Parts: sequence; structure tokens; C-alpha cells
Amino acid sequence: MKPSKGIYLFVLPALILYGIFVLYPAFYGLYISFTNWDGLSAGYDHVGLRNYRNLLTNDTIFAKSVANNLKFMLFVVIVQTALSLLFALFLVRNTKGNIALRTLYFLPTILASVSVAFIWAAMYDSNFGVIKAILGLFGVRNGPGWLADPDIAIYSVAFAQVWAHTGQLMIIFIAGLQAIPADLFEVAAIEGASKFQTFRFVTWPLIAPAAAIVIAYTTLQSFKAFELVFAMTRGGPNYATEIIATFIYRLAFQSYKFGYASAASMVFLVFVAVITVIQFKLLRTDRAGE
Amino acid sequence: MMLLLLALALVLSACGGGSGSKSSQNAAQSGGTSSSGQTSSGGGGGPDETVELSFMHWRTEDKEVFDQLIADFEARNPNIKVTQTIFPSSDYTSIAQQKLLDGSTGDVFTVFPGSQFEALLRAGLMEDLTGKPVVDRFVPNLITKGAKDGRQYALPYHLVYNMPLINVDIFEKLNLQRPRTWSQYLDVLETLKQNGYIPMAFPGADIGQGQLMNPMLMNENTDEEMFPKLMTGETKLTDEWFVSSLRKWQQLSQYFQPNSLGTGYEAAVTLFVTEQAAMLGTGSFHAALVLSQAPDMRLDMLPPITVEDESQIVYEGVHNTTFMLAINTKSKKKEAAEKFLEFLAEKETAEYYANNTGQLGVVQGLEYTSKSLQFETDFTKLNTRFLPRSTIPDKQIEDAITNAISAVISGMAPEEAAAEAQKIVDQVRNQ
Repeated sequence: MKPSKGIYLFVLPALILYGIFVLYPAFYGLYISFTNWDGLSAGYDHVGLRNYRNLLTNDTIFAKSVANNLKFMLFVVIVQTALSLLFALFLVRNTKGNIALRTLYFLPTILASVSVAFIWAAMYDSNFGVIKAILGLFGVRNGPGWLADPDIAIYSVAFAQVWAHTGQLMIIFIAGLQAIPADLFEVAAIEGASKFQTFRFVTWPLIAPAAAIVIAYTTLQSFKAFELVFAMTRGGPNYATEIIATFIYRLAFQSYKFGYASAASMVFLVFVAVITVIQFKLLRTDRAGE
Repeated sequence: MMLLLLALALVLSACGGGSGSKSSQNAAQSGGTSSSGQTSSGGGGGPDETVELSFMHWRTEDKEVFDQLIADFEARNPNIKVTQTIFPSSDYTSIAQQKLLDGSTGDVFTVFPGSQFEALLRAGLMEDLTGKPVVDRFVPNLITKGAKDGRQYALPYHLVYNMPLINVDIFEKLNLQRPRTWSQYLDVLETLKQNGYIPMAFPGADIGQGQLMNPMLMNENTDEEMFPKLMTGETKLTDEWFVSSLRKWQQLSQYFQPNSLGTGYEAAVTLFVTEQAAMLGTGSFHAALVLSQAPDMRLDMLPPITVEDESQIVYEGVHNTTFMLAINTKSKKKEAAEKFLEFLAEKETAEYYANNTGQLGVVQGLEYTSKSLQFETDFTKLNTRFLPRSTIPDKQIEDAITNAISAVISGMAPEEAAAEAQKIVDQVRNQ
């Protein structure tokens, strides 16, 4: 039975809104990326591909921000996925204690990113922070400069991201684990499989779809961590925590270079799309090989 | 359907572009439509018409004082209602420009000197105040940063000294004299350190570099154009004046608290008010905050003197005139906005504001009764330089300079840090 043409009327309002608030700004941003508009003035010049050329061949800060973003992404994806799976494995049974712990681990998810940033900036503070106080109990007087040391600052910020979202992803893994038929574990036990073998050959293949969702979601989330980075470090010290989003923000709203920032946004879009495609291909390959 | 929407978006983006020409920029540079002596049009409000005015600024800590002043203004002008719109200073630059564009926010607004002033002027968002009586109420040589090509667009309301605060009692206890050379300055810091103090609490996570870089440079290069000339290549950050400054930063950073690059200004102030630190590497704008927590502390300011011989001293401090008041050219209530500006410029108003906020003023003839405005040294009698940082022509270059300082504090060689910063200057010149 062919759907009536009138059915399109039902999706039209959403499509119009999508066109106005997503497509139009995206295409306008593409147009502006070929200009030197400062975001304020009525006039500007068209500069062709100059913005893209400068960005990709001449901009050391952009290069640093890409490198930092990759470090941030890899840390968050690996640590967050591993931790959320570990918590899920320990809390999969629906006991009262487990449910209480799941709630506790989920709580940071409902905090705004800026709140998370302020909490962790205070905890990391080298003078009055609680981490310094705890280290002091163990005799450590001058601990690491969590946000001051350029070599570790990006990982300190990434850890705050992990803390904020592990609980949320743990729930996805728990749903995946609880969907595994119990008799598969019984069979594995009868066959004499060890706990590791059970995980390797029973659990992991069957939660692979959940893992794919977690990894993809975490990757995209790590590229959107603007508020956390900006509120904690504003990209410092010495660009050590500058990510692509904060780089674009500074260009557009502090340096008055909307055209150049738009070009960076377009490159960012392509960058995220490429990573997402690679990721989906890898995850599909993994599942095909089961 | 998707193709239709795509086509619609493409058409809209093509139509939505600006004029693409520079001609409208020339008009924008004239800074609005009013000229000297003309009365601004519209928005004064007739006797029965209530005008709602938006006053946009960044000082959340002054809200209550402004509330009181606004109440006084509204009592005198019953048909004008003033609402404050406040954004924190760290975000003001990015937010203000968008709010000003449609004229609904910021009929009267504040602007930072330097790159924000230049950007808003280019966009034609500040009314020309040249020749208006309100301008004569300000100290003439302190309003130059709100002017361009002989026209006055903004009037600074704050006079700030960007030099480290010191705890006078600690200095007197240790019998420390005001140093007149760099070696003497380091000796003072060493003495403080030997006596168990953090010599200087430095907020390296936020404002420290941007504040202290000014007195650190004031005698290294006395050319007022040293930063603007970066854009033409006449000066470089690899020149000796800047590298020398970075070397001194390297020496100075040994006297900061550990992990200073991770310390925000709140923690630095806490170190100072609890007398763990003898100096605070910010400026006079924190005096009121310090005294609110340590009311008995005696304060003075001590800029780093970076010359090796006292005879080489040109400047003995750094000042800034900021919180510049301007009228939005897109405002539909310019008459009311001017009345509010004139009210703020009255001596009694400016005195009340200064004494209740701890901010020195630029209006003529002010008398200060607040302790936070009375330092041991009278810097108005000394030769102080206008904030060099405000002359940096591009925000990316400013970030490169402050990040070079951060790099040196975290252990990078000054020459390498200077070279990396100069690379960014070269990139900006090629943009």
C-alpha cells in the first residue's frame, strides 16, 4: 500500500525548523568562511580560499588544538568506556545496594558542564584543593600541577569529563548485559569456562552493539566538551588544553574573525565526520568478524 | 522535500550575505550619525512616556551600588527606567558585541580599551560624543583611550593601577625598602622567601600574566607603539626588549606559589589576605576585595622595576583607564541614554560610586574617603605609563604574548618562548 502524499505534511513543520535552525546557519557559515567578516561590521571582502589555506598550512594554534582534541578524545573514549563497562559488570544484578550505587554513579550526569568544571577546578587547586589535602595526608606536600602543568593539564580536564559521564554510559552497558540470556552463562559454566573466557566468548560479543553506541557517543561528546575546557582552563596554560571548539570560539568572539572562525568550523565538521565514519567502519568490521 | 529545503537554504545564504564591500566600513568608522553639538534623536521620553534604558556592563560586584545610583536617577527622571544587564568580564567581550547589534540591549554600555574599543568603533556601534558637555567633566589626559582621530567615543569611568599590591606591615616588619633596580627587587623577594612568606601570590590560571606583563615591560621598551608595530614587522617579539622581559619572568616565577599557572585570582587573593603571601600580583582593582576580608591590612603597590640602574627608570608604574562608558548608535533612546551618562559623570555620583566600589575614578575633582582608595604611595604624583597590553592590536597576538609568559613560567627557555610567540604574530599578519 503506497503511503498517501499527505503524509509529508506531518513532517513538514520539523523539516522547516531543521532547515531554518540547522541547514541555513550551516550553509551561511560556509559562505562566511570565504570572507574576512569580523562579526560586527556591515561590510567585508571575499577572500577565496585564503582562510582555509592559512588554517591548514600556517596556523600552529589550530594544529595544537587538533592534537589536544585527539589526546582528549582518546583518553575519554578509552577510560570512560572501560570504567563504565567495569561498573556495569559489578552492578548488573538488581539488588538494592547495586541500584543505590547505580544512582550515585549516575548523579554527575545531571550536572551542567560548567558546574562540573567549577567543582573539578576547585578540587585540582594547588593551594586549597581537596586533592592537595588528601595527598598531604600521605606526606605529599607539593603534588602535581593538575591544571598548571602543560604536560598533564589536558588529561586532568579529560578526567573530569570521564567522571561526569561514566555513570550515564554504565546504564547503557547494564541494559546490554541484562539482555543476554541467562542460559548462555549456564552453558558456559557447565562447559567449564573461566570467568575471563565467559566474558571473552559470551559477554563481550553480545554487548558489542552497546559498546559501539558507547564509543560513538563518547567520541562525539569529547568533541563537544567546550564548556568544560573553557570554564576550567580557557585553553591554557600555553594552549595546552586548547581544543578545536575553544579555538573557534576565541577567533569568532574574542578576536573578531568570524570568517576565519567559520572556515575552522567547516574543517572541524569534516574532521568529526571522518572520525565518525572510520569508527563506524571499524565497529562494523568487528561485529562482522564475530 | 530535502532537496527543496537545501535549495531554500542555499538561496537564503546567498541573499543573507552582507554588502561584501568596504564602503559601509568607511561609514562605520565615523562612529554613528551624531556630530559635534547636535542633539541626539529620539528616546528622551515625553512627560507621559516611560523610556526603558538598558545599561550593560561587566561588574557584577557593583550591582548594588549601581542599583542605588539608578534609584537616584529614576527619582530625578521618573519617565526613565534603567535596567542593568551584567555579563562577567571574562565573557563580556564575546557577549557584548552580539547584544549591541540589534539595539535592544546596552543603550549605555561599557567597553574595554584596546582591541574591543577598536572593533566596536569599526562596526560603528559607539555614538560620537565629541563636543558634548559631559566630556568636559572628565580628566582630559585620562580619556584618550576612548578617542580616535580626534573624536571622543567612550569615556573611561575607572582609573586602575595594574601593579602588585603589597602588605605594608610585612614589609615594615622585615625593614624592606622600595627597590629601585631589578637586583634590589629580587633581593626583596628573596628576603620575603627566607622569612617564610610566599613572596608573590600569582594568579597564573586567569589574569596574572595579563596584569603583571605591563609593569614588567614598562621600562624594557618605552615606545608606546611597540605592540602596534608588530603588525608592520618594525618590532618583533624576538627583539631583545621582549626576550629580556621573559628572562626576568623566569627569575620572578621562582618567587610565586607552587603551580602558579593553576591558581585563579580567588585563590591568590586568599593567599594574600591570610598573609601567606606578602604581595598579590594583580592591581588596585582588588584592594576593595582584599580589605573586605582583611579590613586592617595596610596596602600599597610595588611595581617591578626591571632596570639595572636607577637612572634608567622612565616609568614608576602602570595605569589603565577602563570601564569606558559609551552610547549605542543602534539605541532608539539616545536622549535618555545621554541623560544617564551625564548623571554618572556628576561629581557626587562618581564619588559615591568610587567610595562604595573601591574603584578610582576619572571624573574631575573626586574626593576619596574609602580606605581601599588610599594607598601609602600617591601614584598620581609619579610618572605612570598607560597599560601597554591595551595597545596590542590583535587578541591572538595578546594571547601569544601571555602564553609565552606561561611557557617561561613552566620551564621553557625565554628565547624559545619568544620565537613561538613571534610565529603566531607572523601568522596573524598573513591572515
